[in-house]
Amino acid sequence: MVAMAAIPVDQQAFTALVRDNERALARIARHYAAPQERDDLLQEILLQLWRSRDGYDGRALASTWVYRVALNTALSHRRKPRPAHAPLESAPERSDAHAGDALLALEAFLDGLDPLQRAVLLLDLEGLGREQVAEVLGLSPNAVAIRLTRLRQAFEAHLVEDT
Amino acid sequence: MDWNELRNRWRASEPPSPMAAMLARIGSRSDRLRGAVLRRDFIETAVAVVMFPAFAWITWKLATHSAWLPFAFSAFLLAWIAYVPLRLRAARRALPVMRADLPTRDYLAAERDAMRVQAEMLEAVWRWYLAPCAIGVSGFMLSARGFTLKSVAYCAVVTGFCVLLGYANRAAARMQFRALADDIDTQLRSLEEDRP
Repeated sequence: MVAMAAIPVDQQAFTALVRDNERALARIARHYAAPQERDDLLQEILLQLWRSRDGYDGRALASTWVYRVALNTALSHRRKPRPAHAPLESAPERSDAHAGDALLALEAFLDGLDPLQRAVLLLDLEGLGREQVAEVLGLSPNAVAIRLTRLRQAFEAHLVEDT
Repeated sequence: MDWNELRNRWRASEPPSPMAAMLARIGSRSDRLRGAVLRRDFIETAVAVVMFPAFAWITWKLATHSAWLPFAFSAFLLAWIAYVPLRLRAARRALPVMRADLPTRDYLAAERDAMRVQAEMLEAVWRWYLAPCAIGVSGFMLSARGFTLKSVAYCAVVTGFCVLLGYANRAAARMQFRALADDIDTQLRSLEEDRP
């Protein structure tokens, strides 16, 4: 994620900002939408980023702003009506992972969490510090720390169960 | 298990993304959506603009012929036609602003409030849209044509349609918007749980 003083307004600079965060945005879409809806969610995230860019006041890091928009859009996207045959969650699609792989287990663990807990762990995995996670979610750093500790413990238990 | 190593592997994973094509279209897509909103507002106003002079003419004609009861219902419909687009715009303005770049807790609270406002709007549709329409149209038809089989049947169809729409709106408010608001409320409460 790139930290910037202000959100770029013109298309070229906006493109650069999104490009810098492209993989993180794709990972958010992967964990908040069914496979057939991921492109729609990504498109919606981009649209919200584009439409929100004028409202950025420079008080938070640009990466905090990008994650807020992406997560909020993803949470809203989950609430949209969808056909009965389109399950929201799906098994991770990592053909290169072998059974018992911790990363594969982590992907499955994430998809089993409720959307807000998933957000806490996902932001941590993306490398955000506790203060920044707290800023994205509107929680205190202590609350984030408590949640992260519980989630990591739960994941370790999940991993032990699997192996 | 080394969490830092896992985190590094996580960040190295690269899901496929059609971002380049999406980015190229983002400006025009945003403009298209803005255009769709403007078109919706224009259509609502255009319907009123087309219907208002027609009913104004009918109302004036009824007054010149001293047909006071049909005149009263026609004037009532005239006021309703003018009121509907204003009411729709006021209702949209009353929706809480949902800025996507708010902290998630504030965003969820705004989303929940917006759902509740939308539910209230749908629950009130019978009062400001359907009931005036059914009363105005039926009253106008019966006072102008009298109690014939045709006019009574026409009124029954209009009233039945309005009642059905009213039920559908209330059901949507309850099953869609109120249910979602409750769901978001539960999420917000779960966020509160770990506050030190």
